[in-house]
Amino acid sequence: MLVEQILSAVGVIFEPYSLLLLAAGVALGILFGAIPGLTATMGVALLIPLTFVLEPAAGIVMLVGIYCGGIYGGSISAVLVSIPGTPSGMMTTLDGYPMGQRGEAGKAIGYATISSFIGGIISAIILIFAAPYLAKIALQFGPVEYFAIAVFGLSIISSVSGDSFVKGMISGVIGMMVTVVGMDYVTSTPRFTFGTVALLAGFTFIPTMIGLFGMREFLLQVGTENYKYQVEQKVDKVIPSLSEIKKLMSITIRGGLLGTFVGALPGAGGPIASFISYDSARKSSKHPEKFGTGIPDGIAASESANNGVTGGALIPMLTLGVPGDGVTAVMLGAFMVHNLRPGPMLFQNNADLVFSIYVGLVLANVLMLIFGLMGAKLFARILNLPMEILLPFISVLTIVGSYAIRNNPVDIAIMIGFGLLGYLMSELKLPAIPMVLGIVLGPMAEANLRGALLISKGSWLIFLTEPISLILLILTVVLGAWPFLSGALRKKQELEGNTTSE
Amino acid sequence: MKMVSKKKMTLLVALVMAILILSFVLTGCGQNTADEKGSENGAQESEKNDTASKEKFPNKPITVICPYSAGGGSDQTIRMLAPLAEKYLGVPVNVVNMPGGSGSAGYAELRKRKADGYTLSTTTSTIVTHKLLGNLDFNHHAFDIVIGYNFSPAAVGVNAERGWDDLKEFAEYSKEHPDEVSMGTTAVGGIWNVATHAAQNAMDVEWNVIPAGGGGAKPVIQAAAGKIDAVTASPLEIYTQQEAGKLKLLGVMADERLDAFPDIPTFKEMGFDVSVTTTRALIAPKGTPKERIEILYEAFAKAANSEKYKEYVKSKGSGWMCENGEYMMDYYDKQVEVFEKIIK
Repeated sequence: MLVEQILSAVGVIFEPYSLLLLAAGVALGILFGAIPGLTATMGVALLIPLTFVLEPAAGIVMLVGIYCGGIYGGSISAVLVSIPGTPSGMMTTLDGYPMGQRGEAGKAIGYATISSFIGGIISAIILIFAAPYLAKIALQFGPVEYFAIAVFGLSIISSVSGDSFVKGMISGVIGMMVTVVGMDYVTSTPRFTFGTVALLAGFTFIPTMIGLFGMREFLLQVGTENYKYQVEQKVDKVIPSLSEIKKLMSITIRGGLLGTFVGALPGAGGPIASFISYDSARKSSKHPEKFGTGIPDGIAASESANNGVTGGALIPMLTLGVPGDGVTAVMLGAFMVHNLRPGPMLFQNNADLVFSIYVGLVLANVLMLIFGLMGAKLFARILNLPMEILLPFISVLTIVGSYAIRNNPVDIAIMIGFGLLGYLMSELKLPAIPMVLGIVLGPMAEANLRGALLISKGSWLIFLTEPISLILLILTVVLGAWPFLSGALRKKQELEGNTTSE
Repeated sequence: MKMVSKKKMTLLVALVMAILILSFVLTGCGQNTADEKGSENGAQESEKNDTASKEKFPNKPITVICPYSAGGGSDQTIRMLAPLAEKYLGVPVNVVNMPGGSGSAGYAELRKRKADGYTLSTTTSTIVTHKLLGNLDFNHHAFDIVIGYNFSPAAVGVNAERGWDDLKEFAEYSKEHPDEVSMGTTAVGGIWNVATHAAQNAMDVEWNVIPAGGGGAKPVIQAAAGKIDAVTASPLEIYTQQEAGKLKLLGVMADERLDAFPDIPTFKEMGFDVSVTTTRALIAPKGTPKERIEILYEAFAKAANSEKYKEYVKSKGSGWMCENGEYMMDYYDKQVEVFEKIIK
């Protein structure tokens, strides 16, 4: 039955017309993802009017192509200029950018492409075979559980703090404080806006990120006076060898699974998936200290997870009619235009369409792999430019990117402000990633904490009586304490080793 | 360090330039829904009528600020309506998204623009609530209204397993168990939140109201999963879950039943006098010449009366309307009266 439906869907997608649309979607998605300020969400939103005139299946599959391409494309600018093209690409900058600065940008993009592909395919397989089951789990997540996830995510600060845990905490708290600005999530009261309408929406996420990563890097480059020298890129061998891929297999598979699961939770999304995946890869690694210096493991962990989110986010949208993230929220609109209502009835009334989406998702990932590997050399060559030519381009890109996100000049000021803050922080050796964690997870923690306490009428016990939340909180304590525990254990072993040898 | 040859470098610079230009073009295009033909016509006409520009309106593209994100309800509706109105205006109508602060960023921006009819903005009933909440110091009276074109009433749905079959049963149970029934809704000041409180007054009940801010957990899903008992949201959101057997859509807070859901009763027919809708209109900066507002109204009214638009509104499960500025001023004034009691 399943096989039959899939085969008939393959027939639909492999029509030259649909195939062409899908390929165009993927290519456009990569472009949108790679250019800071243009996100996968915008790509899908802007092309929806085009799908009005297309067959529902062909149109929606094209949007799926933009989605996959867009999430992957973010890794390209992350590697080249340390600006994540989409928020999901944030963790990719950590190892991707140092690799590029060593002259291995092509290889870094190669790794990103292959891990994105594996993560995407894993999520597609789970979507096809386990969508109804995962949807049931996603339904079990209420404010209580979301709060627990946010706390779990914040515990990652302990492992991305670098040398000093205290500095990591400071940075994390700054991040959470940033998110307090704007309208209150529950009462809609303006907080810390000082009467300016511009700050009612708070500090917009994408300009903040572009500032913290791109602008800071620009300022650092200018500040070092070393910028006269460009990095000669090795572009002869960008496709990772089989043995290299094999080494990363466990990280990418875990990343894909994590990404799918996080994606299936409405509202969690790409950045959180890649945080968790990066953290788990680092914790299980034999050489955790190398993470952040430019190793393929870090890229693989981040990219497999954020592309794993694609299939995952489609699960609640197709089965419950609730989008898993921003892109699927916009996609939902495209369904409506064709008089299709995603949700439980979609599988009964429009099963053929659902299977076209499945096949489309798999194919989009294959196309993404092909385009990515073909383009890697070309993209890497951009870094062959001398810095005095490249830097002005980067600075323009940061400004265009911040402005484009909602056509508001305030966002340029926000971007520059956070660029300066980021620069100041790197001078003080305060790591930036904990701050990003705080910015992403702060609102989630706050809104859901208050929601949960409203449901329980003020009783904090609700976090311990709900099983999922209890498990997550226990995990948080154990994993949060792990760096200290493992350090203590090692010391103990060393001591014991010393005593026995004596 | 090996230097790259000069020729190669020129190529590379060209490549990067191309990417940069492309990004400008793409971000620019992002704001366009206009078809090429329209803009050509507009350009020619503006040349011809350069001297007579005072008489001829419009003679250049019109910008409509959508103060919500691309892909949202406001965005989709105006992107449906704008191309239809273009036909009658003869110039392109470009939609630009300026989301932030539940519409407030866009409203504030429109106030700074010239009152010449070339910049408009869409609005929802948040134009009314922001002032009441103290977020903005102005409301709909700071603008001229072109047309009201769409409304969406609030609806109440309950978890299907709780066994409440209609509004009366639900009201009775809520009355007997004050503060026990949990009711999910939007943040305070959000239109569904206002509706929840209005319904509480009309039904003379007290719920445990749970406003949800951002951050994942959606009230409709919470109710469908049984984490909370009931939810106030848009009819379509609830109806989707009713089809799945998870929620039961008890009623809509509109004056009449919706075309999209002829089987769903209104609160009024069930004996509860409450009607809360979020209503979308096009607004212009205060002081826009009357005759220009008139021209804009004519064009958008024709667009709103098209079959295509009517069908679209129905597919979205919301309500169709086509009312002029005067009517809309009164309409929003009435909303101020209703909302004032609840918010203050």
